[in-house]
Amino acid sequence: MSRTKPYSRTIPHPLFERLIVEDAMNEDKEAWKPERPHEYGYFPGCVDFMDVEVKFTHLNKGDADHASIAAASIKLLNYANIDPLILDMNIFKCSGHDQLWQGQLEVFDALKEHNMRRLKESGIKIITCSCAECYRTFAVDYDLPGTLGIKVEHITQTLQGRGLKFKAPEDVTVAYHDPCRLGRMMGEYEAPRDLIQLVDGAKMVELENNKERALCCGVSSMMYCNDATKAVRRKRLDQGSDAGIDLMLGGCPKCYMHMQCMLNEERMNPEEGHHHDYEMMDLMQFLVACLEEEN
Amino acid sequence: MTEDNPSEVVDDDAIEMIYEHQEEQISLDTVNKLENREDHSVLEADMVKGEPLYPHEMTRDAVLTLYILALFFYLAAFVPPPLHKAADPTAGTAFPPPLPDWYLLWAFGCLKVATDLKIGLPLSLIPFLGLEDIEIFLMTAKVWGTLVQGLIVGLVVAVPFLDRALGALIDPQYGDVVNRGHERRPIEDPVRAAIGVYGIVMVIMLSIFSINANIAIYYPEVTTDVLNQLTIWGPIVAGVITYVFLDRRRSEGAKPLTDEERFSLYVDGIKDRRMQRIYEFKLNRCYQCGLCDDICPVRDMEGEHELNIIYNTFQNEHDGVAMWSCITCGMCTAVCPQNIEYIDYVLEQRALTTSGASL
Repeated sequence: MSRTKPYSRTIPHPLFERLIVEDAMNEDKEAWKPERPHEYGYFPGCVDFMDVEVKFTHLNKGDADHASIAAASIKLLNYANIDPLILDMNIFKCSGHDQLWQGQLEVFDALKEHNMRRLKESGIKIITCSCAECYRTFAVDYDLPGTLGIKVEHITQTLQGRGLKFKAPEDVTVAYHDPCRLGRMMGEYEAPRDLIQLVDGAKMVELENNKERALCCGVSSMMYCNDATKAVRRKRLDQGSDAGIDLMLGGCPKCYMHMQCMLNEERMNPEEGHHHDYEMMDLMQFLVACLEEEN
Repeated sequence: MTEDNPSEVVDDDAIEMIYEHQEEQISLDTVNKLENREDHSVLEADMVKGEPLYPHEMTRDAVLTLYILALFFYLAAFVPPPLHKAADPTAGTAFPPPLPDWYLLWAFGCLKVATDLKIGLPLSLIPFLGLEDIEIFLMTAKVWGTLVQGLIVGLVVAVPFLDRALGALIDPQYGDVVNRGHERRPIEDPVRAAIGVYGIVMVIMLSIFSINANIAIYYPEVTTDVLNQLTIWGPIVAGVITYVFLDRRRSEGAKPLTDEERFSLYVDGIKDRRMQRIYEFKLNRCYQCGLCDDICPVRDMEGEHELNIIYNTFQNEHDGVAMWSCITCGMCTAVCPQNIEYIDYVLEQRALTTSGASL
């Protein structure tokens, strides 16, 4: 039996996708034990790889700092009196979300096997992620609550209801952009909004399409960045301009990456005439900025 | 050449002008479409175009009604009904007895099956009191047989109201029927299908039971007792067989494919009946409302015409574009009235297509 149809399309491999695949295929059999037991584990995801991608390619024109999302998350967790075990890329591997959705099941299975073993060794009870894609992958595709009995939370759910207080450096109008993985797939719409409500001096407005009807940022699983997906993104950014916001907040580093990329590109090419007069930020970055002002 | 025939020159020019005009129109349409994107989307669409009741429908219906009325008046005035001979009260009872119309035989059967309803209290079993057995008479066979008919019709009326409660009792997952919608095919809901078959067979058996006297003329061995047993057990056996058969088919259809089957599915498309069932289970709730299409951001930006994503995928008619340009944002599932998880299907298809080729 042979394939009668040739592949009509191939999946592009950005640099950091190649890095993750190489990482996944290098088997790491060494045992590992954390220095002391932790209840919470924090999984930063592939933000380091994203920074590598941004620095070595033309994407984002170089000023985005994704690793600051991880730093901000850890700071916020400490502020909420949580001492998390950092499940970083030295010990763990990428959660494999992109590989799964690109159809690379072999890579995903290798990543999953490694991460499941490490999670068993780590002895944590709750894993929290600042990335909506990792959250969905751990909860649904790994099925951690069912297999290892580890509760999976998005960081907004962890921080929700812990009596945190924030103060914005100046009065801002913000809007929350629902990531598809956190919103439509996992059904969490309220926790990020509750967190934004806690910020003193931040006025939250809803974009035209919100919650389960939220528009997509245009790229998922790093597959295509072309004119059509940019049009999807522009439509979403236009809604932000219509709402008159100063900041758009996202719950997923990927949304942040793609949106900020588009905004930067517009700024680099002002002759094209598309301009959105605001910034995109991850929710964690925004909250930390509000935290430091209070201190 | 062109000087000999000036009309041709004009024709060429005209054709060029027409082309230019058409191109202008197309570009204008595209610009308009991009500028008025909202109009194209279900998010803002609040009106459905159609024909108004008045005057369109009203006029047509009035003409038809008056025409038929005129016909009745004509017939009543000029064609009187024929009169037959007067009835003879001295005529003997007919045998075999006359029967009601076939569609009322089940009601007739109810009347025949029913007996007098009594409750017997065996008081003589209580020692030392010397009481006698009492029999309480509840209702006669006539009343009971008539009430049973009303009971059956009432049950049919009550089904939509009882359905969800009973369904939730039988199958706890059935509780979210409000979001999920009903299963439309018997194979997806064996319990309800079995109850339906039980009812249909019951009506047929009651109808047969009601003509027992007529049957006895031709087949003396089919006695009333045999028919009685058939009326009780026939529907039950039919219902159980239906349930067992459908349940087996369901579990067979829900089984995942083996690697070999998946591969042949990619190469040859869906041919095997069993594989087809698996895809039906995912997508066959689609009733082509097109909401997914209206909301899909990819189609909004890329597609010129309607893709009808979910339906075309179910029909295996998508050209592969939907598979790889899908950004898996899940908006189609969010608006889908049947909650079809289209992105799960996309995930499966991508894994199928790239299996072994990703490294």
